[in-house]
Amino acid sequence: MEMKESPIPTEHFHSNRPSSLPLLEKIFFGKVIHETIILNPASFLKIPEAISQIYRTLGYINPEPGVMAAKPKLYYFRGRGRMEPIRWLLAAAGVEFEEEFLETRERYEKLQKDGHLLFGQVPLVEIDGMMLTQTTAILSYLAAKEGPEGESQVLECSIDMYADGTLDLMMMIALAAFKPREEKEENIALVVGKAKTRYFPVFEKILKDHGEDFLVGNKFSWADIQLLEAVLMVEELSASVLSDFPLLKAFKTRISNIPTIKKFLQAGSQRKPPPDSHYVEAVKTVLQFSWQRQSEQTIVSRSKVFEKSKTITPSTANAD
Amino acid sequence: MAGKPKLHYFNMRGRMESIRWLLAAAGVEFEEKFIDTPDDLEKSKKDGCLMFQQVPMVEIDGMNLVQSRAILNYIAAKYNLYGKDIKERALIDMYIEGVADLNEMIMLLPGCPRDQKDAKITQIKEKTTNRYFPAFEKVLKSHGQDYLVGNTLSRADIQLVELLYSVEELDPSLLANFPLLKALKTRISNLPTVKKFLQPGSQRKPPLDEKAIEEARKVWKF
Repeated sequence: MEMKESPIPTEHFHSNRPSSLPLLEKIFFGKVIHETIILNPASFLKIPEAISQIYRTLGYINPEPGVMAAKPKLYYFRGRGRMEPIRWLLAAAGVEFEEEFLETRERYEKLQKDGHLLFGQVPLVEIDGMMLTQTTAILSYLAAKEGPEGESQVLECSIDMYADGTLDLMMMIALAAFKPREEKEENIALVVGKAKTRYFPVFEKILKDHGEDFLVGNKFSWADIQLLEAVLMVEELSASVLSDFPLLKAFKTRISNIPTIKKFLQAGSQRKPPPDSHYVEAVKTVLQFSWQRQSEQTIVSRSKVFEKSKTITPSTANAD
Repeated sequence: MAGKPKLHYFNMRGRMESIRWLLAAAGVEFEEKFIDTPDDLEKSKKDGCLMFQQVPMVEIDGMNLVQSRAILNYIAAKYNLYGKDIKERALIDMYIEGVADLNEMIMLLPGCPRDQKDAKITQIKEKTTNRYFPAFEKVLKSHGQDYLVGNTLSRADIQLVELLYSVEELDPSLLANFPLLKALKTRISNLPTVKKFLQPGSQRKPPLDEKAIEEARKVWKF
């Protein structure tokens, strides 16, 4: 079956330097890279092999940190929410970013008045001259720009599929913070149950079937970053949740040891803690909603509804 | 030549309808296998072709794809409806996510408890006229072009027009103050593939009416 040429260009990795160093062709998944990738041989030799392979996979080594475009700027509450996967992706790709935390209603309204929030919503990321909203739009753009995709549309599709699955799981956790306290135990049990019966077995099987280190195409991708993030989030709810998933455990260790991710996992990074009552209050203040409206809006939109009953309903439980 | 894509879903719009629209607009013929009973669904799950035990699922190019977003992304990229570079794609993604959010609210209405339904409809109308329609009208006004992104037909146009039809079914007056959206709707509806899809006898699915909901309740026991 002939595949049409992907409209997404292969020049993901741009360099500002003249091509005095060797052209690295066909290094990434069979795509010919149209522009030179600069590797400083000296610094390359100092890096242990495993790490250098990861950097190669990530796209480039930029030996001169000064030669960089303006940093992306993230606008969100001071907490995980829907921005956290974006922070992970940037951190894993070694991209420095700035953050502005929304703490007042006035600031939020100003962003709206200035026309930066297309649908009046955050997350908002200022990047490459664009004011991007919509989490998956931002993630897709960053993944295409900063890191490797699969070797073809087929593999990119797998990445999308896996990423969407893990995002579903993470959003369940993110939204649980906004539910009534009385339901907390029940919600945690639901989420952990979903992780153990629906999501983790799938990824354990993927890793088992191909026996490779990464989820897709034997290369580090967005899907790996998000799976790690999801795994860690569920572990915060239930420390032993990985006990039946040895390959996921190994995966977790492996991905956590990638230098950029290791750094992100250390104290003092821009990684945010799990949502607490302060976070919930801040969000409610800025967005000015009551509990009732919140449960209508965000529980209904974009999240997989908690299955309240055991019966199958076409519109909720089994539609994705 | 590979076979036609095969769509696995219930015989209704739900989360598969956007995929039907996109394939149809791209001029791609497709087959459908309907899940009519809980047993059908169990069988599909047992066959192991539903990655997260959920539908939609689309058999295409040797893959069993699930997750509607992943499916739509693949189809859009394959048929060149996803912009010419990653920046255009980012804009397209931004717009279609907004479309998806509003569409989700409308899609979930039939499952809404009867006593909450009116409030929900009011909320949807309010969001439509105050948040979503103005945003898209503004985009069209800002560049004055025939299509949302890159002066070329993309999935953003198709998915937005699909939404406009759904909103129209809810309340035709909502589109009244958005001339550019109205023009886009006419323009896209007149594309030969879309025109065909809009005619009776196509694979487009009707909205859920009370009768259909009742029947679904009996079969699926909810």
